[in-house]
Amino acid sequence: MQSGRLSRRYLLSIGKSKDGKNDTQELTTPFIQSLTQQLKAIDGVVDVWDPNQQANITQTIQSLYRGYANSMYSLNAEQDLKHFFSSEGLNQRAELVKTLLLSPQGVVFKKTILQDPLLLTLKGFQSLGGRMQKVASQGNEQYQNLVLETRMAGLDAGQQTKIQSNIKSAFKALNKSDPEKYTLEMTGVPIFAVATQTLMQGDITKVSILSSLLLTVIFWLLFRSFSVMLKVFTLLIIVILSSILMTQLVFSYVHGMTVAMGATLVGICIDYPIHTIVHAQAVEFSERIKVTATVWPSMVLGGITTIIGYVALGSSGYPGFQQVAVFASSGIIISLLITRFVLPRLMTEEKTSTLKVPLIKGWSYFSSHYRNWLLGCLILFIALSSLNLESLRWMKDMQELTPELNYLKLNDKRIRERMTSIEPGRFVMVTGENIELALQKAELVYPVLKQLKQSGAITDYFGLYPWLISEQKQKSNQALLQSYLTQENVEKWKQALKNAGLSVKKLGSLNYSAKQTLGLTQLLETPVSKLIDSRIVVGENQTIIMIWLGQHQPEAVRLAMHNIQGAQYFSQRDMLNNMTRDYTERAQLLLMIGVSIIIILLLARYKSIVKTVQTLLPAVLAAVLILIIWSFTGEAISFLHLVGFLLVIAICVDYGIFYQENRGGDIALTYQAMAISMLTSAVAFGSLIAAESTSLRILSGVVALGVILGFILCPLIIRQTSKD
Amino acid sequence: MDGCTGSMNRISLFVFSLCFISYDISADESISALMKRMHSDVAVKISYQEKRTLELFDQSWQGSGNMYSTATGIMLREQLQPRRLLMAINKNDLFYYDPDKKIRHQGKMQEGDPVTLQFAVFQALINADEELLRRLYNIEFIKKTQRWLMTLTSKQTDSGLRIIVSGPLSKKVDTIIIEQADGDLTEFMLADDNTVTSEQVVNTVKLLYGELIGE
Repeated sequence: MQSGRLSRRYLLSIGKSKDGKNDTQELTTPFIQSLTQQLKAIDGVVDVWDPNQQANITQTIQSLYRGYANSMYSLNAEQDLKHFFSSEGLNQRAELVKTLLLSPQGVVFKKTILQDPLLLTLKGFQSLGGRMQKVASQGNEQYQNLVLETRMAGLDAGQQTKIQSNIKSAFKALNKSDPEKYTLEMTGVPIFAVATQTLMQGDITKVSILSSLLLTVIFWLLFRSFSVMLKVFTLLIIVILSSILMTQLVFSYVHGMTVAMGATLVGICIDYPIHTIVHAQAVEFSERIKVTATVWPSMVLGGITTIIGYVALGSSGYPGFQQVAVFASSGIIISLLITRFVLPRLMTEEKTSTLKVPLIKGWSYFSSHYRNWLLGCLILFIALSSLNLESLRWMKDMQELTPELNYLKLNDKRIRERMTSIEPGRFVMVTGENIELALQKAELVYPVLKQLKQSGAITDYFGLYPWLISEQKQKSNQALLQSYLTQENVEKWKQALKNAGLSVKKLGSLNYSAKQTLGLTQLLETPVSKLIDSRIVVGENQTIIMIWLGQHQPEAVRLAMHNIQGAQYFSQRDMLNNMTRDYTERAQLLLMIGVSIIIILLLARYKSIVKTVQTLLPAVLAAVLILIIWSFTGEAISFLHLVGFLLVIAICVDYGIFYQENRGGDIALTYQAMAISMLTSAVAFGSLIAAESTSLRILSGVVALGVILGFILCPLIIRQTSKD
Repeated sequence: MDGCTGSMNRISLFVFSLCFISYDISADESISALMKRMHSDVAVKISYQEKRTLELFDQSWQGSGNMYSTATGIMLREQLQPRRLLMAINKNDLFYYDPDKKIRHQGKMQEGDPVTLQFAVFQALINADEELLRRLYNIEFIKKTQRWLMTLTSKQTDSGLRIIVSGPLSKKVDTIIIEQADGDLTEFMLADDNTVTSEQVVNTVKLLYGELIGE
């Protein structure tokens, strides 16, 4: 459905300017005609047409369907024919023939009447006539709408950007004489695709520049060494490029989200070289490889726990996150390997230095001296604040994750309301193994929808009937009609013609013996195609018919479709909300699984429950504190928040491990190294706050705050008495 | 019977045309002069007789009623016999209302559409819209001894439609004959109704138009 014609179409709405100067001026036909010609000339544009242009469709009804009058006339032939061939029914048909011949469109109807005197052709289109009248009378003189179809896929943002630019240029060129005269609004899948890509590209640029700048500044301020910075950043470039290559290798393409999230990876991968440098710079050159080897096991365990977080992220099912998981996991592994086997050999400077991150020593001292007090306060705060956790609320509507696209959604709604009474995003979906089976199933749905319409549960519905019915139904209609064409009925018809003052000679014989049936392929070659091609999708093994609905009661339609096999009520909004629920449930599960795996790893490493809990607790408490904050701020929690939690735990456990193991033997130095790790991670994730994408901003808030809290809590939770 | 009627009317139309053979004059000048005569700054009422000779009817059909035109461009037709019907053109919109059956239709005038071509001639003549006339039709204008005659054929379509508009010399149109390619004929005999004032016509149009569009 996403790659079909519908996705390649723009809806253009040309309106009168609201500057007050042209209030009385109508949208002129020459302007629209010129614009249509200009738009058609754009490279990549297949066609441009007025969706309310009914002339071609009316002509098709007249010319095409009169050849199939005996097969397409009804979904309930038995009942209809019984009425047609009653004396009253035949008189009514004759009167209808007379009325139509005398009507303004008599010339047009005459051709149909000569071939189909009973006007069976019009039977199916009776209701349609009413709808077409409704559309015509609803026509808003303030706006003229056009549909533009492109050759390129709607999601091909690169090509669609060019087309959108050309559309705007064509409009501007024609509107040049008086720029305020007309306005142009556009919607459609390509508009959303281009807007999303533009948003993502903007985010990538902003986040990458911001995080790179901040990391460089931090690195420079702390190490004050161009040589060290060059080495570390060179290693990071190798890591990032390797990750991109690995992602390309696995998925054959790299998603924009992956690159944006990749910026955060810099903040994590840089931790390992930093730890190595901090510890190595504190010792003589000869000791550096040995020191690196000593601290490396802590880094490996930390790396594994972080990878667990990213793997969970990838398993969330959220589009793009699988790539992020592969990207990050390969990056962490490569960074660990380079840190262990390459970096120490590059650190050739003889001088030693000890790192001093501001405030860290002070906090370390303060927390160790007032540990019990601080712990008491923390426990009391958590205990009291936990009472408010009940007020936490879950995000139920997935659209809350993309408020940055709200302006496009509103624009889309506004334009569509000018064009049709269909509710977008909600329809009855009928599936069959092939076109014929799908049509047969749809024929079971129409009577049900008709009943719903009569009961007021829906205002209208738009399926393939009367444009197309199954071959089976067409043949059965032909056979049934033949059984009614008896000599007696023909005589009754002639009498009805006489009563109406119509020519018996011209209209008296009822020749409905044609055997041909109308097929989809044939129909799609007519102007009707533009009207119905959004109602059917033909696949190799499946055909889907979409019956679009006017205003309706969702539950009534859902319930009515429940018992029809192959038919279901589809609501895009419900689907998104269900996806939100599924993602949230999955994220909860992944959070539990991720934490469980980390616990098992820590237990295996320490063989001590106390040590395991101590190592894990700063991360868990950081997550709890964030929850408490949200309970007061009223933030709606989505699955992305939970995924963020998992990342917080996965990253903060590293701090717990480093602090717990203190393999360098100097806890002050270890905490200094952790401080830089925390700063780089917080800056990398914090940079995502500059993104316009709400998903990235959510992750930014959760992870940046989480790693800061996790770091702060380490000396409080994990007691370091002396070097073990 | 049906076919004969059509043939007879074709013959009568031919004879009708022959009656006035005299001399041709410059088309532009005459059309402009006609449009000047047709032009009116006030609302007008015209009564009409309609006779239709259709292939699928076993006898000719007759109707009558009034046509109204206002300075704002609304052209409204009220058929009174054999039963009441309302039709109107307002700018590019066509309206139709059958009060007996409570059926309303609305459509857009689309240039090239055969239905539009039949209506546009009334709109152009009653509103004295020479530009519209010239845009839609090929015009052949001839002046006979007693009457002028203007034959219109479609510029945009090959529909075979022919409209013959005529009237006494130096007078407004009094006859419009619409001849379809298949021989179906519709004749309108028009006569100015001078018994009503412009204000009365405007009020009548307001009422009828409201009824027509359902307000």
